[in-house]
Amino acid sequence: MSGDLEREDTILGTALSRAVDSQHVRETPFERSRLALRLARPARSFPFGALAAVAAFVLLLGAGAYLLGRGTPAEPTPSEPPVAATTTPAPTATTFPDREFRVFFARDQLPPLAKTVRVEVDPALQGVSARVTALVMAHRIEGGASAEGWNKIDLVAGRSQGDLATIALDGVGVRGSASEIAFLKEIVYTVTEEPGIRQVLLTDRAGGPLRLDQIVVDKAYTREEVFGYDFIGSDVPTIENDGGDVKHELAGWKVTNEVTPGLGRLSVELRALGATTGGRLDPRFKAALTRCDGCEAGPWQLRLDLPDAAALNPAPPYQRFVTGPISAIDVPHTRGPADVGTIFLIGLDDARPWRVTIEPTGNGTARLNVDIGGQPQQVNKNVAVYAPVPGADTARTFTVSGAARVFEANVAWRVRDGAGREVATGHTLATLGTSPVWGTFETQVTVPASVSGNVTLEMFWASPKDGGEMDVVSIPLTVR
Amino acid sequence: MTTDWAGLYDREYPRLLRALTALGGDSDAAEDAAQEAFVRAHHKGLEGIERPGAWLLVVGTRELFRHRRRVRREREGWLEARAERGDAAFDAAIDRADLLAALRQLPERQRAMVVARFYYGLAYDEIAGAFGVRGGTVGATLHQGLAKLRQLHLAGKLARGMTR
Repeated sequence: MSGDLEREDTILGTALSRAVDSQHVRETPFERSRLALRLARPARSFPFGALAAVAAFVLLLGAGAYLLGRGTPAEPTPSEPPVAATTTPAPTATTFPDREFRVFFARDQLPPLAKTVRVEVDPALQGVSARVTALVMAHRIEGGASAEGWNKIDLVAGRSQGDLATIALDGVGVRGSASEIAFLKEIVYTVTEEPGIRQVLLTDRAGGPLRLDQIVVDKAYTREEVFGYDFIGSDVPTIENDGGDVKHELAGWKVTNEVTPGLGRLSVELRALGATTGGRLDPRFKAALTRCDGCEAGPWQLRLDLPDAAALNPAPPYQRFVTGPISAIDVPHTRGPADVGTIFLIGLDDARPWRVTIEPTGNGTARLNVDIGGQPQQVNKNVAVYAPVPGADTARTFTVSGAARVFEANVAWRVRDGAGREVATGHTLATLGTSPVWGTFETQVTVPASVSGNVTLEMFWASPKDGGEMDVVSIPLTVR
Repeated sequence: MTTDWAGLYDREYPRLLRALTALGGDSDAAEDAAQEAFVRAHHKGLEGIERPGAWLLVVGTRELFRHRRRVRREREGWLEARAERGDAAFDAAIDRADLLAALRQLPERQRAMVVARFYYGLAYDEIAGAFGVRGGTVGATLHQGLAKLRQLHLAGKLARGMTR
C-alpha cells in the first residue's frame, strides 16, 4: 500500500469511527438488560412474610389516589417530569437499599395508570420477581381498602421464558369481579414492564390455574387483553392525509397525558409558510402504530410523519413521562434524500385505540391532535366521546364533545330516562365525515325539565343503507 | 459474579450498541442483537472468552445480520442528523450520516471488519482471530471495503474534504 493511500485509509477510518461514535442511541442500563434478567435466574421462591418484616421503608413517588379504581378523575398532567422523591422515615431498621420501579395501579373501567415507586426490595431479586415484589410493597404501604387483596400474597416463584413470565402466587385475597379485574390489570402491566416480556401467566402454588374469587386464570395475558378496549390500536390502519402543497412550520407542540381519563394527546400546532387557499392549512401527514420490541420508551411506538413541516431547530430533548399512556416522545431531526420534515416518535405503554384529528386554528394555521385511548366504554372504531365521562353528575344542559368519522359527518345523540324512554334527541356535525382522519364535534344537550336523576346519553350515527344506528356509545349520567 | 458481568456490560455495551447501529441502521435491531450477544456471552462463560470486546462484536454482528428484517423499516431510509442546520456542525453531521449510509452499502463481512478495525481499533491478527479468518484475508477484505467506501460519492466527498 502506498503511503498516500494508507494515509487516506486512516483518515477515512477515523472519520468513520467518529461517525459511529456520534450516533444517537438509547442505552439500556445493566439492570434492565437481558443479561441481568438471565443472571437473576433461576427464579427463587421468596416469602413475602419475611419481606414485610424487614422492608417497611417505601418512597412512593407521586402517590395518587388511583388504587383499585377508588381514585378521583385525574387533572390533566401535561408533560410532567419525574416527580421528586419524598422520604418517609423508616419505622424499623432497613436492610436493603431502595430501588425504583414503574408499577401500575388499576382504575375503575380504565387502563391502569403508571407510577414510579421507590421500595426496598432484596437486591438478589431481579426481573419479574422484583417487579411483583415492588407492586405488592406499594400496595401494602398505601393500605386502605385495596390492601386486602395484597396483604397475604406470597410470591412462590417468578420466572421468564421468551416473552412469557410465569408468576406463581398464593394468598391472593381479591374479592368481587371488579377487584379481580383490577388485580389482573395491575400485575400484567407491572410484570410486562420487564424488557422482553409481553405476556404473564399466573399460577397457584403448584403451578396450576390460579383461582381468584370468581375467575380462574388459566391462560397468559398481554396488556391488550386486560386493558378494556374492544379492539387493539395496532388494528387501526395507517392514517394518512395527502394534504395541500403548502410548506409549513411547527409553531409548537405538547404532550398531555390524561386529557380525559385514559386519553393521551400529542398536539402539534402548524403554521403555513406560504399562501393557503381560503386561509386553510391542510398538512400532509402519515401516522402508524407499530410494536417496538426492546424499546426503552415502551412496547409500542406511534410514529407521526409531517414531511412538509420544517424541523424544529434545535431538536427538542427526548422526554419521558411517568404516567401513561404516552410514556415518551422524541422529535429527532431527520434528513431524507430529498425532503426535510418532522417526525414525532411517541412511546406507548400499550396498543390502545388511537385517532388523528385536524382543526383549523386561524388564518393559515392548524392543530393536529393524535389522541390515544380514552374511556374504553366510550371509544369505538368510528365514534369517541371525550365528555361527559360515565357516571358524571351534570347540569340539565351539558356539553358533549369528542371525535368521529361517520357518514356525512352527522353524529346523532339521544337521551333516555331511567326507564329507558327516549326523552330528547338531536344531532351535530363533526368537522369531517367519512375519512381516515377523524372530525371533532362539540354540542349542547338539554334534558327536559320533566326528567331528572339517572339518564343515559347515547351517541351514534345512522347507516346510509337502512338508517340503522351504528357504533352506539352509551354514557350513564345523573342529572341534578 | 454479577459485578463482573455488570462491569463488562458497562464497559462494552455502549460501543457495541453503536457499532451494531452503524452496521444495520436500525436501532431496535441493534439493541436486540447487543442484548442477545451478552446473553450468549453469559451462556459461554467469561472464562471461555479471551477478548470479550471483539467476541461480543462478532456475535452481535452475526445476530444482527441473521435477524435482519426482509422488509427494511421505513425509518431506515432516514438519517438522523442531530445538529443545527446551515453551519459547520450541521455539515459535519450530514457528512457523518452520509458516511454511515455508505458503510451500509458494503457487503456484510467488509462492513463488520471495517468497524472492528477503525471503531474498535483491533489489530489485523485480533480481527482474524475474532472472525475466524486468516490475517491475509483481513487485509484484503479491509482493502476492498475501504476502496469501495471511498468510491461512494458522499464518502469520497468527505475524504476529499478532510485531505484538502
